Amino acid sequence: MSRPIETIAILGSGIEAALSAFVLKQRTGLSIARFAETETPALSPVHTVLTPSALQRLETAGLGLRDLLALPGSLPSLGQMIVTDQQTSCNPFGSRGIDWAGIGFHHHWLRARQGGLRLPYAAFSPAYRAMQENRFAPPDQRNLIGPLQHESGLHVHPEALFERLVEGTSVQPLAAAANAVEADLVIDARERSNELQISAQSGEQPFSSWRASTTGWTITIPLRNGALEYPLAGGDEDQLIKQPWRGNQVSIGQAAYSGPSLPGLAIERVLHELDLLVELLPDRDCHPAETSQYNRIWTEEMNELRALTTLYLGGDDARTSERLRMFKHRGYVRPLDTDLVTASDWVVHALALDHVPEHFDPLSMRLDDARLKQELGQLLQRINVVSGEFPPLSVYLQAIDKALGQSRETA
Amino acid sequence: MSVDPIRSVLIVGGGTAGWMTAAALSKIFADHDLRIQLIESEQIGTVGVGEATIPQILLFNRMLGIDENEFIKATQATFKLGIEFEGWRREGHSYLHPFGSYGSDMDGVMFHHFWLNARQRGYEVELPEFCLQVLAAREGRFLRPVPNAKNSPLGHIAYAFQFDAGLYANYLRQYAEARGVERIEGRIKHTRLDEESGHLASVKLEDGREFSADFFVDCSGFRGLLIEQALETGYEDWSAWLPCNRALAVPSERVREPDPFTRSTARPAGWQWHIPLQHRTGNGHVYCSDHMSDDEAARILLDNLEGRPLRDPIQLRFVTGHRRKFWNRNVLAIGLAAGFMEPLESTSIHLIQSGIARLMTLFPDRSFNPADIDEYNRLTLQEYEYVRDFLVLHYRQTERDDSEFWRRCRNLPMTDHLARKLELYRTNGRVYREKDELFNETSWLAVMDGQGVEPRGHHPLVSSLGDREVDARLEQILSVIRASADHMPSHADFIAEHCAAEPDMLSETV
Ligand SMILES: Cc1cc2nc3c(=O)[nH]c(=O)nc-3n(C[C@H](O)[C@H](O)[C@H](O)COP(=O)(O)OP(=O)(O)OC[C@H]3O[C@@H](n4cnc5c(N)ncnc54)[C@H](O)[C@@H]3O)c2cc1C
Repeated sequence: MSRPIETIAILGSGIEAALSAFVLKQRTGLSIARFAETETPALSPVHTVLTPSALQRLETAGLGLRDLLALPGSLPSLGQMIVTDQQTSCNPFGSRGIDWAGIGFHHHWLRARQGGLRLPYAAFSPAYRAMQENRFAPPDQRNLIGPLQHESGLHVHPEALFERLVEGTSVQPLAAAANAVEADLVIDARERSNELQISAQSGEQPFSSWRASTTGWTITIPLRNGALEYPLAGGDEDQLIKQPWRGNQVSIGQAAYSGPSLPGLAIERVLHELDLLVELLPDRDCHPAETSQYNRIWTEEMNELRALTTLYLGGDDARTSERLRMFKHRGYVRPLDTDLVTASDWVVHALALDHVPEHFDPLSMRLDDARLKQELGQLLQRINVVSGEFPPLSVYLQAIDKALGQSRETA
Repeated sequence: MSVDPIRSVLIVGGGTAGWMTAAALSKIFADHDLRIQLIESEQIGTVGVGEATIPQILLFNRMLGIDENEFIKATQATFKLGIEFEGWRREGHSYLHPFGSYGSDMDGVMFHHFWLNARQRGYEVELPEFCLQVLAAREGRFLRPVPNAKNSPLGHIAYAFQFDAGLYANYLRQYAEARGVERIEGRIKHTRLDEESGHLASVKLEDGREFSADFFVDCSGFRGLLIEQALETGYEDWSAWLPCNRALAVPSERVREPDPFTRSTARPAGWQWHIPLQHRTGNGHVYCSDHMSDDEAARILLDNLEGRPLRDPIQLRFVTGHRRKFWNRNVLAIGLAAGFMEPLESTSIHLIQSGIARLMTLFPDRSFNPADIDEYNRLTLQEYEYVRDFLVLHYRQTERDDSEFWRRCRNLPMTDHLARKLELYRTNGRVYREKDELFNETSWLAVMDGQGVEPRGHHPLVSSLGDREVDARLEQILSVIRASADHMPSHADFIAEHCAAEPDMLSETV
């Protein structure tokens, strides 16, 4: 018989620790104690973007979209605008087009492009036009394009998110010796110290902007009351801890891998690590079979995450080069073993950075030229109708404020 | 489109692999400038076995766009809900590896953890009772998944087919020929390589006719006429893991309504299959010649038939394993020419299908990009290795020690992957599927539980629910599964109503 764990201690004073405490409390119902190394929370601008998948994971942990929208500063987001010297490209969340004949849509798009189509890949998401026209609507399965939905994320102010996560929970100071903390399971979620400044002036826009700079990227994330701006650059500290879980100690988030993180992925990966931990929640013996399974899955996830990040930041990563080489040749990304980064993430990001494959999959030809043209035309028409119905962002925000205000009154 | 597209494909072999490949290419490249030819030799014939499938075959049929009832009638097929393993754990014990899940997952935790929790407290209902497919198989029932019943087990009935291999090849041949595939009858005597590139240039028949193509698909069966005899690719021998190396196959008269499942019965040096079709039953004895003579194997097979044999048994010899490269230069091997792991879990036809799917994704042009070929080989090898480990599980986790063969099986070498899976399950009942692995969590669970692997604990979150709550949930699930099974008609009635083969076809036996 196994001996279930009863107590979990979480070390850290930032969002990642607060998130760990919140999620583990909700998902396991166990007794959670958080120990902070500083009195004031260490907050970082990398924790501002909640991707659609992060929102879903938070929902499962009991923190729904409505709650998050009500936080001061929260602004819905449709994706990223990527600005380089050569081009500006929209990179909306969610999929594009339809995989006709069982073939990835990007192959059909490539074929049409070789036949003279001028529209970018992203134009086959309803969010594309909305991002340019500053409109917003959440996905709605009932509209004309049915399952071909864009997806929406959220920009949250890290301070507001932090306060929400720690609501009603107590925290104790962390003594100098972290290993003096006693619990059945100890989670180290201490972050590097970070500066959080509302620095940029920015209008309310439903997307973050990534501007290429000489050292990497400048990321601007609009909120309701300003914008956060921070540099994203390749660091030399992107060391992977080989085994984030040893004995009864698990390192999560930056405490496990502190390399640079694309906006959105910083929080998503912590949520993913927590989900994996819940899935493999140990008993008091913390069996090596389970801890090594966690470490194995985690390492694969982080390596893929790092490879995708390298696509933006440059640097030596054999995975990145291999993925890019295969993609640029024939638009192929091998099936991946990871959840955080999927094959379609590679497609979307590679195309957003203008890595256009030389060849498309010949199976796209299962749709003859006339049919492809017709299907693309009809699809675009429907996408245009749907995105044309998105209200201006300001109107959407007013409606949200009203709905949230009313619900507060009724409550 | 590619700069230098493939204009001609020559498939060598007209067994299941050859005609599946021809059918798929003819469908996918319909209306294209691609000439597809297939050479087969009636004189040589096909292996004539390979009659049980797994649910993925539905995807292949769907891709071809064939009508399922028509296909069943044409191939004398029956439905298959899983495989029964008789005597594999120990003499007198049996379990079913079903194509459907157990119970339903709750609070993000797999169902079997709830069952393990109860069982570790003395609960007596066995895991299989929570699987609709197991109940239906046992009671001879069948129903296709009910549309719009997403919240009921009836909405998720996974199934496959058991069919006549010869009729299946004929059926696909008609399909492919109707879509322009040219069939050439003849026996290949010689192959010629291009001196400069080392690629296969042409094949020459006994009667002197010579055929060339841009791309060759070797479906010539165990001999690997192109991949091995012409290109000398090499073979990885897996007998250390999978020691069976012979099979005897014989059809027998049908004596009762066909079961909606395949049966595999352990024998002293291997196992015997029983595959019920509409018009007859397929039988075979797979064994290891180190531990049993051919005569003894034939006697065991014939002594254990339900009905009269319809001909003498045919013998097949094989070495489990795979070609060092599945795709070498301009030759891709599919089917038995690529490798064979033995038919215990009916995986070979699926491996043909997944090879075809992978070929479609990485379809070459005439430059034969080495990166594409390496990728094909890497993915295929991985798929083979995962399947091998699942097969080894059946042999290794046995309690039998009544023969030299089974004692050898208990000591088969472990791979890291299998060792990890077993240890995770033993610890707290965790079951994981690798991303690209054919067999899912349910399959691993079914076989680990069936073979008697006992977890020491379960997911700790279940304990926090409290015993009463867990027991109540189990009881409720049990009653839903029971009610769903009661709703299903008999397998025989279902076939009679939807897809019974024509009476004149019934008389056309082997
Ligand atoms: C004992 C046993 C049981 C099996 N059971 C199952 C099962 O239940 N489920 C499952 O999925 N799979 C099973 N399989 C595997 C399955 O039978 C094969 O995967 C399937 O039949 C494909 O065979 P093939 O087409 O590759 O080869 P074959 O059927 O051997 O066909 C080879 C073809 O090549 C042609 N050929 C060969 N040499 C020449 C030449 N010189 N000139 C011209 N033509 C030539 C032959 O005429 C023939 O047409 C089983 C296999 C065995 C051995």
